[in-house]
Amino acid sequence: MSEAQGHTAASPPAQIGDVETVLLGDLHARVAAAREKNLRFVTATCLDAGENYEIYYHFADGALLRHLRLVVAKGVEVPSISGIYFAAFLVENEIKELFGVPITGIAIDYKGRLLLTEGGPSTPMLKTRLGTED
Amino acid sequence: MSDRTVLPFGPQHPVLPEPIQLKLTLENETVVEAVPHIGYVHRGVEKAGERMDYTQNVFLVERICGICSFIHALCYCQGIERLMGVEVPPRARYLRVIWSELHRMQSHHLWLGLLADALGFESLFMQFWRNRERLMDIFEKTAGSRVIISTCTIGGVRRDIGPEDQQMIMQELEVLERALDEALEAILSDRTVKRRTVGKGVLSAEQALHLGAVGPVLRGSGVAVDARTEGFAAYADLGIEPVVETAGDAYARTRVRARECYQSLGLVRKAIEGLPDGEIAVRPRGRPDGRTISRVEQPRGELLYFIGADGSARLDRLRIRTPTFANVPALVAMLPGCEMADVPVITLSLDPCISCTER
Repeated sequence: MSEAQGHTAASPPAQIGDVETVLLGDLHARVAAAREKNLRFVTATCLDAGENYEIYYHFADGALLRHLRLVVAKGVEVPSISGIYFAAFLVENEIKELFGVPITGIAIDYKGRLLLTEGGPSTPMLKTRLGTED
Repeated sequence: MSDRTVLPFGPQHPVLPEPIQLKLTLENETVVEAVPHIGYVHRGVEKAGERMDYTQNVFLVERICGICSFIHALCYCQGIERLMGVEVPPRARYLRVIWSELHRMQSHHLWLGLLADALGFESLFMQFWRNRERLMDIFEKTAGSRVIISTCTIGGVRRDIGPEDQQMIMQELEVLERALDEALEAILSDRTVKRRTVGKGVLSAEQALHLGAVGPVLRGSGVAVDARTEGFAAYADLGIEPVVETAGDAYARTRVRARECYQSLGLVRKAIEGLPDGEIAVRPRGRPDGRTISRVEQPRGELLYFIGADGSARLDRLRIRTPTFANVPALVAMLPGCEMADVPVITLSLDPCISCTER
């Protein structure tokens, strides 16, 4: 077995490619434009970025992936895109439950009970729990 | 106006080997709305993936699903390799294709058997599963294990397939192909099967795209999307054309999987014939840093891993989007308007994997 060189300071960390950062107010217009172009909704990814949430919406344009990136402060409501792409309803419920992102207007809203049960952990994917200092 | 009845379909049902529930609203015998409920066996794998060492995650992700465990590991390893700048040796890339396509075949055989069983063809069900045993035997002989074969690793593969085992695989594939010809003839030409699947659960190409469908569900609706065409592992060398049917119904999805069995047979043979000499793995150095997306084609469709790393031993984020998770909205859209009696076959035609969905 030989050894392969990992990236060094000279070669910057990899990034995910075609990313367009959008403002909250422009989200629906940008998603509607993706639908107009017949892009396939792939999924969304939420990251806990300290004071903010970082949400990626992934679309497939043929074989290519395109991404919309939204950065919102924790506690700010995010409108659902499931009115444009119905397929988003499942992952939006997941993000709402596991990260605590207040996503509003989801086509089928499980109201926090898609995956989690009463008495179970809340927002388990957060690195620090909302409203606590641990 | 007819009275409406709400009927729970699942979580336990003869066509559902794993728990998922569809809350069906019926008018007489016609479905007017379907609301899916998951979460019965959710395991929190994404969170676990942030707490374990990035090398340990290979063992974690290959346990997400017993049917496509190797391909989960492949998707994860490819992402980590990209972040670390690892060049996988050519022989390992070909071996990855061989095990991936054997997995696809055993998964499709499993599903074809389940379909036969759901339609009352018990002998045919046993025939498909007996044939599948040949593939499981190949796993045992080449990897030492029948289900979670654990041969993929960051930097390559853990085991080689020597000349004797290559010959054994080629011989087994000959037998398997003849058996497949017989069994598929029985299921694809049968009048009863056609009456239960043709025109059932129709999804147009436009619907399939907008609903985010993947795999045989998407290709059965005439959309030629297959992540293998991106050329990961050795697919660029071996060449691949997506298998497409256009009717968009349960029968079209069955035909896609049936034809993909032959496609996989061809790919395994081609990979063995062209297997390059050389190392099967390189040892990665350093730690992953940055963000990447890794995509592969599982038997049920596109699998996507979003991996975020910060140069430490633990990942910052491991997001896993499995194919059945992507196909649930399509199921919700294809059920309204169908008869209650068709719900089991339409649901089964997605080849739902709840282990993957409930990561």
